[in-house]
Amino acid sequence: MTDMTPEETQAAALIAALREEIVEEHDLDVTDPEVPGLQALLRQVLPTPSVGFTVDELLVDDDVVDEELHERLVGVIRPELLARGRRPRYLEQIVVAQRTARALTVEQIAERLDEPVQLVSDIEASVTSFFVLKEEKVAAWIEQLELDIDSAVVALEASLRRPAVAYKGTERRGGSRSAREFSQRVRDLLKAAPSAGNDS
Amino acid sequence: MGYARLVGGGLGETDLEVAVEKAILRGVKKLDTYDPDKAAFTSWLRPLVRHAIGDLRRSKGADNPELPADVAETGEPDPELPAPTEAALRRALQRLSETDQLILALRVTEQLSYDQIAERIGGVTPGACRVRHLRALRRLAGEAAAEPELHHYMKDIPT
Repeated sequence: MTDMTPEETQAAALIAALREEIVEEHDLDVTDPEVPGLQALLRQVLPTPSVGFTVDELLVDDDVVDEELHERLVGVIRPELLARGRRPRYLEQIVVAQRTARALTVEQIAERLDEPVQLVSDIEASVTSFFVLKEEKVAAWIEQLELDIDSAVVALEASLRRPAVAYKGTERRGGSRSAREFSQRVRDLLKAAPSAGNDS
Repeated sequence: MGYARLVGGGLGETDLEVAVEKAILRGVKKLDTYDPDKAAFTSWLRPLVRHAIGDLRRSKGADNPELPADVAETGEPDPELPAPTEAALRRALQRLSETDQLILALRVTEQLSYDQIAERIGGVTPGACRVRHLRALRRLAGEAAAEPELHHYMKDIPT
């Protein structure tokens, strides 16, 4: 008998517990409730790691990929992985690249955000953090440049979590707000905006 | 591929391989959005496989075979939840037992039929799985009552 990892042992125990509970149920011909709202909601939240691992244990026991498919999958993802390595990962880099690609000036961005030119310029140069802006302004900036929402928010969180040396110690307007809370608020604003839906 | 076969009933092996290929490529493109604190990587990847299979079914149109009656059609990704709603749902789910969470994950998240759930669990009937799932849904409705952000979504749950 093979030794089980702690995760496998936990998953086996959870499956056994569910089996025991199901066995105790009556085998009734009840109708499944029509709950589209709930189903859509639940599908958005992934199971916790331990429940997810148990689902894996139940579902992927016969998950075998033959050599030919393996080669094809590697061939498909390799270019994307290489491209990822060359892609800018911080929002400062992305906004500068996109502004330049659209032939916009810092002044134009500053005017549209109703913020000082120097501040926008400092943020682009990583001299000042995005934290000094309100979430609404950061969302407006991303929207102005029509960036992909998911990628932009991930890049924003990366910028906030790993600030450039230049502005380490800059006082945050938001006080104790975490990078994640700030980014999520920006994401919610963008998703709620009428122009949302530019995800690639 | 095993998971694709499970949720892609009626599709041929070549179609399933294409769906897996598309799902993995999309996964790599969206890799930055994966948060290991929230879910296992495979849990994050599986919806991408379902969506790719849903796309494939739609593209095949009239050739699409009948799905089992109690398997929900996979379709477009659901719109993303606002963070407060997602947090409220996570809180409500975490107050359920892990067995409740597991049956909900199998039925609602993974969209397995009761036949498939019974087969995977082993030693149980599809009818009893259905009753157990309904019980978990009702308990979720009870927990959701304490979360104002969820009231709108929960109004259609039997109590």
